[in-house]
Amino acid sequence: MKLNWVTKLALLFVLLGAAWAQGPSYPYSVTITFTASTGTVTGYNMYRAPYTTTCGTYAKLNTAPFTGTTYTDSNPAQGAYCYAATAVDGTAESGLSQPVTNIQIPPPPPSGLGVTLAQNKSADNATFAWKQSKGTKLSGNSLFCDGSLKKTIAPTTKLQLTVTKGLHTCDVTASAAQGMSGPSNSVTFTENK
Amino acid sequence: MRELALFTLLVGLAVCASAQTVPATTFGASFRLKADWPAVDGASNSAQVYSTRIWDAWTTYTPTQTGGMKWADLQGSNTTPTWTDLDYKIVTQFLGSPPQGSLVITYTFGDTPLWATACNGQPDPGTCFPGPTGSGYGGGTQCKDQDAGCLPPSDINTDGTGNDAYFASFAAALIARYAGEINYYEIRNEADSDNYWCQVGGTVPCGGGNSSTTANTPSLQRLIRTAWDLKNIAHCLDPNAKILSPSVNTGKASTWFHYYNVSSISAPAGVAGVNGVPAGCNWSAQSVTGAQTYDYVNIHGRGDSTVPPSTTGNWDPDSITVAYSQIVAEIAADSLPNPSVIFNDEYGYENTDVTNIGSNLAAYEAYVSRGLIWCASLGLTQCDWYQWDSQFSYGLQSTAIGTAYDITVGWLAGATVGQCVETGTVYQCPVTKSGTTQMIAWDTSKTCNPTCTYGNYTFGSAYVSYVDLTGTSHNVGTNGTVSLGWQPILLTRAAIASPTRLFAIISSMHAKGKHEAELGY
Repeated sequence: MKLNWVTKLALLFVLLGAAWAQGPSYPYSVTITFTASTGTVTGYNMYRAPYTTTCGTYAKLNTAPFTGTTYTDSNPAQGAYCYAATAVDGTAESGLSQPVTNIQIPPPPPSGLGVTLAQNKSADNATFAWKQSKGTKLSGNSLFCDGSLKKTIAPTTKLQLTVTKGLHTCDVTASAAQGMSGPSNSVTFTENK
Repeated sequence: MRELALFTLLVGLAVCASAQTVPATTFGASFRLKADWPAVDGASNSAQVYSTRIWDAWTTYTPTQTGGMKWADLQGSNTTPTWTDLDYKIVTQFLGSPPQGSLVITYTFGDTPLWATACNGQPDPGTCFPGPTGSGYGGGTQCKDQDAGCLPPSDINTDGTGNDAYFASFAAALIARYAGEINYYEIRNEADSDNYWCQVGGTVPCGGGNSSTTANTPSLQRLIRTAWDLKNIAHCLDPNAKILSPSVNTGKASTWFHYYNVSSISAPAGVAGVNGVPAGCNWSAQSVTGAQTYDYVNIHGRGDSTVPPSTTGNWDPDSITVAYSQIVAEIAADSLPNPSVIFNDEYGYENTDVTNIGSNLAAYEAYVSRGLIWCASLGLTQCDWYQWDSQFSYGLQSTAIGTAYDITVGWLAGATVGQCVETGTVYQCPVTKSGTTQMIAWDTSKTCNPTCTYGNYTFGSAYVSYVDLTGTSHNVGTNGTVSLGWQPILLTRAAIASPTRLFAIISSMHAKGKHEAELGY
């Protein structure tokens, strides 16, 4: 089949939309871009500090100076951070740049989500169970089904809901002060009543 | 293959001496006389001295030494030591009026009093004193200090057994008196030299001194015993005190010091106490090696005429690197304790070097400055200049040499100092202090004997100014060109502009889609 340009553009939006809905997979990353030093430099260093109300002690993230004006901090742990960069010329290094502050990294998503159905007269109870990521401080969990928020509860690893007839796809997230995690794995099941 | 192994080792050393922040206590000096206090430089500024070592210190030295601080000085007979002179040195001067607010103190044990040796009461001249009357053991040349100063106490046997009461009681009394005031104790000054302890003609080669082969039998085992007792006593009476190894001269790390470290004794049980009163600590009988008798390795890191590059004496201040390489190799070879901590509690020029160094004060300024730079660059824990009020013609007290010392310490203390690298004949040492990037440099092909010579050297346009050893600041020429010579200079480069306008994108996803947080400045 030969597609005209309108069809091609529509298909492209569909594909992009699918990608957007799925999003990048965990772990999270922080990409920092900056404006280059005005002097002659051979590279840059990127530093990260914990953030509370101010930036804490900075630690260098890269082992050797990098060229270019973009740096990606892959898989930072849950928390709030400051980032600052320096310029390097040989063994000489500038002071820290003005930092970008309060970059909040949400908790990792729950994992191992599963569902079991218990029959009632009129409807089934679905029990969802998952594993919480260790070492995180959570404020709650949220269950999403078929694109809608079904329930938000205090941090737990199990939730029971009455589900309506039909095909359902659900996932669960974890929330903390730094925001909501990405979704867990999804489960799909059919309720017949 | 041997050459390859050595090369690999030296490369390893270079890695060890990586950039590090240099504490002010790295820099110290010993003081010879009571009168040269307070310590000031040629500009009448308080000396940048943060640590000191007590050895070869007297209250007066003219016409003969009096008021010394060594064992034989403090305990002239087998009775309670007399502390008056040491009290004055420590309490009144070092702690009472320190040049920089605090002073880390090392005390060196040495110089056995005659009464404590087997030669006590022996005729002079005689078997014990074969030289002319009053000339000292071994014909007046073997014992550097007093007649019997290099002899072992008579209550320690050659194999290290015996009660060691003479030394142990003196050491306990001293440590108890100065607990919390003296930080480090060195067990014997330069015991690898027959001037001080080493047995000439024995199985272990000595360093320095003369070649007398008289019946001096101090033995390594005797030294291990005294050091073991000292360590136990000090750790009991002053838990914060640390023991420094016998000071090791250049060229003796893999010989005498190695033998000391691996030699062992059957040490008897002991009890720490003062004046016969136990202090509540005791230790059991056990086999002890020399390496177990101290907390930190200690060298006398100056050049040596038998070790390149100082083939004609100790005139080359850069030859401290030889002593450093040797001791690092020995630390690794015998797995010595606390390998990252190396003391250098005596370094500097000696009387025999003055001829080669010349009479130009600029040469001495360069010597002192380069010694300090190497201490910082090599990461030595503490370096004590021998001596602020030198007995070798050119002292630092109230002189331009002292000013050069102070200026250099000002460059280094609190700075991050990297490895000094020689390119051609120019050494360059990277320094970062208070966020400013600097470079110390000097040219070994130049001289200050009899006059200073210089050559143009280009460091690049990033450098904008430099400071000399008088503290005077100068602008650099085109493309960072400076007139460089035997004296180190501190180059300062223009500040590097930091990056601006940082912008962060967090890539994450909540349940309903991708979420991107963008925060920027």
